[in-house]
Amino acid sequence: MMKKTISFLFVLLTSLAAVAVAAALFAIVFFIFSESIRAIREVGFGLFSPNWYPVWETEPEFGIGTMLLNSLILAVWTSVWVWILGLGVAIYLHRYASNRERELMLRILEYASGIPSVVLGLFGVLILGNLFLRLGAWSAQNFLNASIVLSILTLPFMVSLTFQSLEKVPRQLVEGAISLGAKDFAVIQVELKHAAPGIVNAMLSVFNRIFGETMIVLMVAGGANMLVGSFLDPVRPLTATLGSEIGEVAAGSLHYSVLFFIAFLVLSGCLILNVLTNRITRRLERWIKG
Amino acid sequence: MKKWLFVFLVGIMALVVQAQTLVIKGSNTVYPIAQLWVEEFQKIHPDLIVTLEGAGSTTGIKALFNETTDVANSSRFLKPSEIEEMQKAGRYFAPILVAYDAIAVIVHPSVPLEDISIETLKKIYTGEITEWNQIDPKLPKRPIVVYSRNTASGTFETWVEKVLQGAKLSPRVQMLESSQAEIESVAKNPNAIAYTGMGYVTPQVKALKVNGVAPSVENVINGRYPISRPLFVFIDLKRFNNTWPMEGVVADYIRFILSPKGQKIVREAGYVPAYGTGE
Repeated sequence: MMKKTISFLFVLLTSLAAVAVAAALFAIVFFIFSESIRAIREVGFGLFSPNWYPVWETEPEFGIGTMLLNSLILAVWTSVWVWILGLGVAIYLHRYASNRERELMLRILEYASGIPSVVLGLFGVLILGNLFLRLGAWSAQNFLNASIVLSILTLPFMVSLTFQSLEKVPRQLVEGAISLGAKDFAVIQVELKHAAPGIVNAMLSVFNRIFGETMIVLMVAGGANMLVGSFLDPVRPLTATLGSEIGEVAAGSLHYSVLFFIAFLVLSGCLILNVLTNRITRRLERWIKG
Repeated sequence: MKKWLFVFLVGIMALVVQAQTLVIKGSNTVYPIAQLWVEEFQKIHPDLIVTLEGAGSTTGIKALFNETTDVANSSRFLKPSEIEEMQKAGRYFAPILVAYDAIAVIVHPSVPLEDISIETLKKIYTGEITEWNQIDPKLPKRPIVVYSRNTASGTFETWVEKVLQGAKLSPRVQMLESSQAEIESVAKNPNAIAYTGMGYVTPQVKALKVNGVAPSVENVINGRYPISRPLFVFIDLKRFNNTWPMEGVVADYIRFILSPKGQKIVREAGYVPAYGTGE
């Protein structure tokens, strides 16, 4: 009897926890959306204009166009580099590195992925920033600086996720390919095809992480609301504005509502990307089994 | 078991009833000073529960009307509309001048410039001027790197009011998150200009004269330095039967912030004290 009650209680507790988590997620999305309704109603398409002057008493402007574009450009540019580099490193570790090398690299990546973003941001401000000034850049905090620091943040994820999916490719497949006379390059192709779901998953997670990262862009991107025209221009991505202004904004004001709209935009972007990732991964899995 | 629970509950009730509270709301500019004041004040009154909120001067004064705060911090005097409303309600919000917010314009020490006018500053921050030699032909032909505090800070508010006079910032202006970051950035970049609370200026950077007036405590207090504004604390005298409170938490708090110790805290927070610091 006692045992039964305990097990019943346990099931009850875990299912309650599960429901609570799901409810919390929905509540968050709902809360953020309901707070941004006022912005959508009062500013409308003006939300996507380029000018951001939220606290001016005469003619305030709430355009997030420039920030959104900067966010996307920064995320795409950085992701492409991280994807290429990460894939390269993972293939090297998987196929060519000696055991000791691999162990060492994996250990280093593990530690690197544990560095808090604030610390990386400080590195960008203090070390990279000085370097940029010495090399003649007009601003220490700029697009390239942010891009480099974001790459450092996400490269470990990309490498270890890709490496793991490569390791999971069945041995027989590789051996079969080799015994059919496949050259190195062809073998890698076979492996990549098989690891594709994991790799695509890694790529999209990296993009997501870069798009949503706040602390680093707040510290090193430069904070100017100008559209990036060169690598050395200071920029201000969406998340930086949100992080900088939400703390002190008067609750209930239009400015507050627009900030929630930004949050909603970033959140829905990430959610859509997550759903897309799942879809694509599943489709790829089916294609491989094909 | 039950008995203990009862005793426990009664104990908590007694604590809640006994604990005094002090609610302070208002200006973001005054907020950093108020934080330090509260910290020190609680050392004198360890049982006191203080709530401190910084959500803008207007919010603070509104809270005074609604009686949801004991003390309202404000970076401006009452607006005529507020005075009217106050008189209609038969109330009196006593203004207490507690400090001056004075903003220094800073550049890299190597810049051969000593004096700058408000108009030039406005042109720099609105993007009309983008290179140093446009200020003075003797200066190098290099882009001006313009830094500003983020829009959440009270310093920014003062800057928009006193220098930009409501005009909009150039998109090239870089927003920084703290005064510290501004000092660091300007100290490293020979093309940079920024503004910061006078109390934060260090020898790493050079503070410029504005319209020929040096940024000093004397010039702020005698009213000659152009980029400064008085900071106030308001209390509602109706709650004290329309007389000045001589006892109670609010009275103690006001006495403390105006004391030499409280005024020393004003300077620690980077502002100019309105009264003597006892030194």
